Amino acid sequence: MPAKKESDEVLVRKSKEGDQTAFAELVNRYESKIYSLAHKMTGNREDAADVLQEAFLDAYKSLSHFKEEAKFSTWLYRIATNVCLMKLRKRKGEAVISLDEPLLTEEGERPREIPDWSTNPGAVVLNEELKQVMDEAIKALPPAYKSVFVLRNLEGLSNAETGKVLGESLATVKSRLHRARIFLRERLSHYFDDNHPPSEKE
Amino acid sequence: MDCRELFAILSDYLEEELDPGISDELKKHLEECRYSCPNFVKTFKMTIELYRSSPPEEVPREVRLRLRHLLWQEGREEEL
Repeated sequence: MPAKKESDEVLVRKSKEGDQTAFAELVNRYESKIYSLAHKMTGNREDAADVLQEAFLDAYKSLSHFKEEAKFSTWLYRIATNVCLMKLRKRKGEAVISLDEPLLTEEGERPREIPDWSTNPGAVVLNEELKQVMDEAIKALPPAYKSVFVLRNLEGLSNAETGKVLGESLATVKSRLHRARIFLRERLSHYFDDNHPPSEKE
Repeated sequence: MDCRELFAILSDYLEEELDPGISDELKKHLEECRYSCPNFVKTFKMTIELYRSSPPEEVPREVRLRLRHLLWQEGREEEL
């Protein structure tokens, strides 16, 4: 008979009391989510594996300090995101742009045209291509923007949850998201400018 | 609503968290915009759906094993 699924809260409590199988269950539950998050954040599998390992070891060691005011998943995401950010900051040659740099003018800068891929008949091939282009664009996002974009838009956390994970205010989350989108839009239009000959742009 | 304002609330729109009135204004802008808003929103939305619809990545077996081994070691050290 399958065992009844225990809540995260129960597993956390048991883990705190030294029950290693309870913590192992939490690992089973969250490892692929953390790995996916880390892969999106770092852009490669080796780093994602490192992040996974470090995040769960950190969580295991500091579990006694976890006050259970937040959800376990939020706390774990926070640890993992911080490990990712540290990794990104250590990398040399990471694209760095000022967080205060104005990217839109007051009148609203007019972006270049971006072709609409979503209605193309060859959608399957384009989906692959689109994902690749987006992967590249996400890779190039500065770390502070990347973390909000991945958590909010790709992992589907709310603004408030994203703020909790990052330890930032709602206003900061919103403003970084905004800048991440501007950055991505610019990247996407660069891609089309570089790859599509003018005759195809009609 | 202009392009700039649309951009600022795009995530909330995609997550369907906007007040109905603001959401309608945004839709109206999308219908009328002569710049890149309509295509950007479609492409952005579709990419996010693509990411979300793909299942979480499977952790390679050797990575899973290493993680469990390290945690087990850590647990033993605590006991000692």
